[in-house]
Amino acid sequence: MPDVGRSTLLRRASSPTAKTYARAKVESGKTPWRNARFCVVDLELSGLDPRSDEIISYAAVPIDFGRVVAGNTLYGLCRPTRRLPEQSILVHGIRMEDLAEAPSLDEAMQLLIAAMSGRVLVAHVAWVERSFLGQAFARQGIRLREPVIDTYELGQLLALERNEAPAARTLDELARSLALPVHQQHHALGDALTTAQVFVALATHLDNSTSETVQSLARAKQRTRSYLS
Amino acid sequence: MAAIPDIVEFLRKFPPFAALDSDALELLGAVVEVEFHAKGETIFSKGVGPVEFLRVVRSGSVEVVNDGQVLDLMGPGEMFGHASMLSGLPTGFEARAAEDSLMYRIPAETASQVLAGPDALRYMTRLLLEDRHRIRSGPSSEVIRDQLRQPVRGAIRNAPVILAPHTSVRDAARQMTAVGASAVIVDLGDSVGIVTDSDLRSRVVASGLSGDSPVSAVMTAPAFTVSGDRPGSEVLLDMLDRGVKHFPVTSASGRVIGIVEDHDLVAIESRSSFHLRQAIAHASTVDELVVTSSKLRPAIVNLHRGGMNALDVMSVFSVVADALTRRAVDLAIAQTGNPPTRFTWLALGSQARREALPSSDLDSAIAWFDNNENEEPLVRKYFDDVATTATDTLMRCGFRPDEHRVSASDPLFVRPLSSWQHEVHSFLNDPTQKKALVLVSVLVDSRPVWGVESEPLIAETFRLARAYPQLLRLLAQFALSHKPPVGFFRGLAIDVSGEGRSRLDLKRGAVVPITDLARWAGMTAGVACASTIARLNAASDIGTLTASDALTLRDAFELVSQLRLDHQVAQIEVGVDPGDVIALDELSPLIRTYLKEAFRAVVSVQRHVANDLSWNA
Repeated sequence: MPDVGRSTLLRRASSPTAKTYARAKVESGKTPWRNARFCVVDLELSGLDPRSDEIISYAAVPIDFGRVVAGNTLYGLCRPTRRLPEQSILVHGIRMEDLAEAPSLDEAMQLLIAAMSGRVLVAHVAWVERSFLGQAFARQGIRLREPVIDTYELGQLLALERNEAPAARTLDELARSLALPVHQQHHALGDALTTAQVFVALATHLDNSTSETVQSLARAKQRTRSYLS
Repeated sequence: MAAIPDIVEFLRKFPPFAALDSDALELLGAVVEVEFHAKGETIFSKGVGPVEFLRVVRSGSVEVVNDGQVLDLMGPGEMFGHASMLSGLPTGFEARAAEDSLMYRIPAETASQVLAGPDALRYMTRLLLEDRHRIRSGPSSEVIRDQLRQPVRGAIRNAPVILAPHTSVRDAARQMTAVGASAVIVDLGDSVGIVTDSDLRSRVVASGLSGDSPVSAVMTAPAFTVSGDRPGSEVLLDMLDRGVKHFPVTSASGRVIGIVEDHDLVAIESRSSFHLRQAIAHASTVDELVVTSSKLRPAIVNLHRGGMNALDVMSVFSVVADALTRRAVDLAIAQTGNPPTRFTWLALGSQARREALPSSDLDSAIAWFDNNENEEPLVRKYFDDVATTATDTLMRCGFRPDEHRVSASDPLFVRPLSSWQHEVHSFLNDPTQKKALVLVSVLVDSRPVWGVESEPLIAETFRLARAYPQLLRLLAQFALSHKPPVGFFRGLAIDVSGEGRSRLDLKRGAVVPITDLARWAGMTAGVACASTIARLNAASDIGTLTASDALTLRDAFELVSQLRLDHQVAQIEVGVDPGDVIALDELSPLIRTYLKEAFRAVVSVQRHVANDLSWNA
């Protein structure tokens, strides 16, 4: 993704929602994590290649002051422009005919952008959301805001701090290793809720040894590396 | 923006949420938040609050801690924080994550709105009553409380020491010491005797009896025994009633399988009522009785603190009130002279039903056994004097005079038995005569507490009531005329203070409608004097009330009784005379909601009964 200046993007922002997102005040990196507002996003995709694959469903779960605001979640489907590969249907169970009436990607993104406004993005194995959202947001004339927090990286960091074997990569295994429930898998809302709970648990545990801020959580990967070197 | 179906589905699996309709569950789903607590983290501390959230454990577990002791462990689906939320009082314990735990928290406002339906109400009331025990009394009393519900045989700790009648007192004492027993059984063939350590002290040591004397010389025989399958709470009341601390317990075949003592059944703090009961029986002057009875209210406070539920406290209070009444009558006779004829002192009202509380009047009546009409004026004068003296004594002991003048000090209530019987039969035959319904209601709730019990009792006559449908119909209508103040939350509650505070009379508004309905329903089942709960059970057994209506009334009665007791104990603690009028702003919003719901439930049962009456007309 080419890095474009914020001012450029603002001028190009195509909708009031996009403008609000780009202008919204996001927590300073120094904010203690419990005082910050986050938005956990999970996407279901037709495949993992951002150049050829598409977002077919999305969910957003807000976290305020260390608690998952379960009554204020967002979930929706997007109509793809190409046929869904069969193996992706086997993963998430969403068929072409389920999506026939769904809004287009651009329409759907208006809702998701509004939900994410003013919040720090959290995702599990975040490069996926980063790249797909980055592309979808670019179509709206805006850039995905930083920082982004990755629960996978937080899991690795905690395992290291606790002298345990590296944490599981998959969301369900990570949740189980933290004694947390696993909600409906490969469903954007189920996975987003699981991720949200995993995030709160990991941040609470990490916060026990060092005070965690938005920035320190976002730097989990670098911290893990500096531990290892 | 929407709620998450998984969370609603989880809540739906557990009471009280299981009873909610989908609208109510959606409402919860819209406000619920998920929070995580690492092992050892305090979720809320003791004495803070009132808590603003109801919490339900989703995963992990939460410890309930009081003074460093873990009282309980809550697992997935269990909720906590409701007691403080419900009472509006600070938390009575600390809640701490026993392991890494996830919980759902629901704002109190929504929780109380959603959980105010009848089924959820019942669940919450039960939970609240149970919490009270657990939190107030801790784990050791928890065990004891369970023993009150269990068959009494479970409270036996050792095999009994059974001795032959000729065993020497010295041997008996040795054997008691050896096994740590405080009493031994004396085998008398077809019955048993009992010797307790206090018998050894008072009958052997104090009277200088030789250690070689046989135990038969110092035993109490025949000893009153209890069957092992009776619940501990009943046995405890029997002990209290008879003023003894040990009961031999028998198996189904009649064999003695052990001895239970008062302290096997009840916590130490609750035992003061036993000492009280005995001190009352031994008071030799009115002044002594007055001094002794001043300990009654503190004893009730202790029982409440010890976690005894309101219905059990009412039973204990009534037993002690019986003892006090008996002693007051004894002392009145000592002052007035020997009675010219046999007589019975009847307890009326709540005391007769064993549902008295410190706010209750001790209503009473006298029935004497005599056929000689010539002597009647003299006899009447004697009993009027006894009645006035005894009633004065009871007043000095802190019992308020009856506001309706239903008392033995009123000549109307001092009569020969024949006159009572005549009156009762005339009410049965013509219930339309003046005051018939009120007097029937009074006399059904009558129980002899002093004097002869072998004669046909007044209340027993009403067992025949089933043969008098007109009386039953009128009594039902009479009962239905007492409406709970369902409008009180709209500011219609009576305001007796004139200070502009809305006040509610719990007895008039809630107790009377329930006890009246239960009395009538019990009479349809051939039950005369009995507790409200026993009457409801009997009526439900024969189908006068549906099982669900009977249960509704029982729950409402328990809830209101508990509120009355809580309120009166709080008044006693600050030195105010206990009463049943409560300012609405003393109640937490949720308790108010529940009370309102209880009133509604009673009204709906009244409506069912009214429908049945019109069908059968």
